[in-house]
Amino acid sequence: MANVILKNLTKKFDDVVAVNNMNSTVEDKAFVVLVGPSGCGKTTVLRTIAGLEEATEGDIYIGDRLVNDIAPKDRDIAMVFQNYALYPHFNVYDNMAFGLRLRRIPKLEINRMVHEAAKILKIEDLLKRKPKQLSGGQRQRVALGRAIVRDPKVFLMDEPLSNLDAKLRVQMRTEIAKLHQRLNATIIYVTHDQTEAMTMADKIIIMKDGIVQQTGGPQEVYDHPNNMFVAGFMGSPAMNFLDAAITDRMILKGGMFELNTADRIKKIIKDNNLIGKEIVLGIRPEDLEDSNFVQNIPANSTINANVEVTEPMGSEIYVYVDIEGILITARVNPKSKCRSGEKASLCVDIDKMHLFDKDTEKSYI
Amino acid sequence: MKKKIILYFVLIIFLIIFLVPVYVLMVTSLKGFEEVSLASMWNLPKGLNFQSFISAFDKLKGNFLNSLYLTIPATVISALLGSWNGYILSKWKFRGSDIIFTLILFGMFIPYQSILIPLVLVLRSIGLYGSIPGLIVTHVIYGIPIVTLIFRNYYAGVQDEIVEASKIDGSNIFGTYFHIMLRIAIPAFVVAIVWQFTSIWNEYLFAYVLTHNPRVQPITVALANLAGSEYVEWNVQMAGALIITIPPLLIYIFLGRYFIKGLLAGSVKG
Repeated sequence: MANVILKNLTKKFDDVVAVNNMNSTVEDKAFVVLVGPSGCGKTTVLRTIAGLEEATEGDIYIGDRLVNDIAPKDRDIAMVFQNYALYPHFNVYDNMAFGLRLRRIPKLEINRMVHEAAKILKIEDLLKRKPKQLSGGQRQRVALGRAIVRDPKVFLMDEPLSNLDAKLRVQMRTEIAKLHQRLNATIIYVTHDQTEAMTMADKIIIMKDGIVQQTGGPQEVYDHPNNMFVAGFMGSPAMNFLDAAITDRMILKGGMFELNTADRIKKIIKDNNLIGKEIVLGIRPEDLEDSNFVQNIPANSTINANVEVTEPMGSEIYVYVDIEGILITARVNPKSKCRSGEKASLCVDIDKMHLFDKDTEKSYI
Repeated sequence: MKKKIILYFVLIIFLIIFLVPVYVLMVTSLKGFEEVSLASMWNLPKGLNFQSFISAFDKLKGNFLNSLYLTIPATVISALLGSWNGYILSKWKFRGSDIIFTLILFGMFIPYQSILIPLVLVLRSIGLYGSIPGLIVTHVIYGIPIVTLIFRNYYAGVQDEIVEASKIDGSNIFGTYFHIMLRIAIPAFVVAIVWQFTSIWNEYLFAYVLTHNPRVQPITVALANLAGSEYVEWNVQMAGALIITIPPLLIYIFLGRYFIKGLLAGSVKG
């Protein structure tokens, strides 16, 4: 059993609260991603689990053992750092063997373990090289190797891919996911990149200003964000937000649009007693399509606006339109004829709208 | 092009000014005693006469060894102390560590002369006055600010994550120092060793004040004492001065390569 439980975890640096009363459980063998903008406290959480920072308040359990007062080396964890943090004077073999030697494991055993880890990461021919003779991707593999060679209960990874170039990052993403399946270990992974979070995680913990905003599976947080922050943070391009009022006939009315509502939305409006109120309407870019490519457009489900910019991506086009001074993104069919400077008609998938409270920014459900 | 000519012209002038004393030193050391006079000081020697080197070496060899016994341990100890200080002050910061660092740096601005009397009193009371160990202690302590500065700045450029990785791997504060930090600091050691070796080897005031017995005096004091009260054997004096420069010169020649290497390697980015 190697679950990780955080109970009322708070970490303050002088007067700055980096982590505020966090309660989370990382299940055994899960791949959990902590995600959020820089300064949200996600790295601090990881460092506190590692024992590199002391919790100001609260308890940390690793595998049902309270580890608050246990030294990092005795927590049975391994950490992978963003900048690799390889020992520059050791070669790859020694970098991986260092931790094992300190644990007084017999030489032959160390040799076997290092070679096994090197085999998994395909770095067997690099064992004699010094870190500075390696490329960024190779260094990251060695850093991973140094972690897996010790066979720890929990892996802590702090933005391990952010120093790699875009292509390598995508490649290593898959490799780390494969590694997780192969090692069958618990991984806690910190990133600011929501794509990494979506693609790799079993469970995502989204943080902002030291507070957990939402915890859940990737699809769950994407489809049902708790609040406007999560809605805007997860997904690329980000969700669009528009101010709207709800009429007696349950129509969403903005300055430049009137949108009908689907039954699911009508139920939300009724349940929350929203008739006549001002709300924030959230629409994901993929739920906006060039009307020319939609058959049977339902009544009151289009928005007409001026196109500011178009970005052809090949498989789709990002169209940026101006609605009441706000730039709205739509992901439309690549054959769309939208041109900047011209008017376009965008069709809204009225079943997939999100409604948020204007003041609390919370999602209505 | 014109600019370059002017630049080189100016540089050559300064080079000549700089080399004039060296020229006098060398030609005089190769002359016989009777050949040395103010009138002929600029002239080249009539022949190569190494007698003055033999005589200078004979008079100074004991003190030359004294200087080695003094300089080598003092340099090694202060470099090690500096690396430990620098490691703690950059990687194990504690409340007030920056203040302590600043206070240590102030030590660099204390003139030698101002502490002579207390220094003599302290060394006398611990029984090290008039001995080479006493000089070693003095130089080690006096070198703490500069070596601490060198190593702290060097280690400040080393990622903190290396220390953290080592903690997670199982090292404590000492293990991280011996296994990692001590070994990655070669460029800083070269700088500290070159600096300390040269300044301790060339130091005169402490050596003069703290040692009176000619048998324990370092070479700088002995060289000054070569000049008798009635007359000065200038050729021997100059030869002695040239002999003195050999060890620092060797240090530069051998460590200089590593010095450059260290500078070029720049960061120790893993």
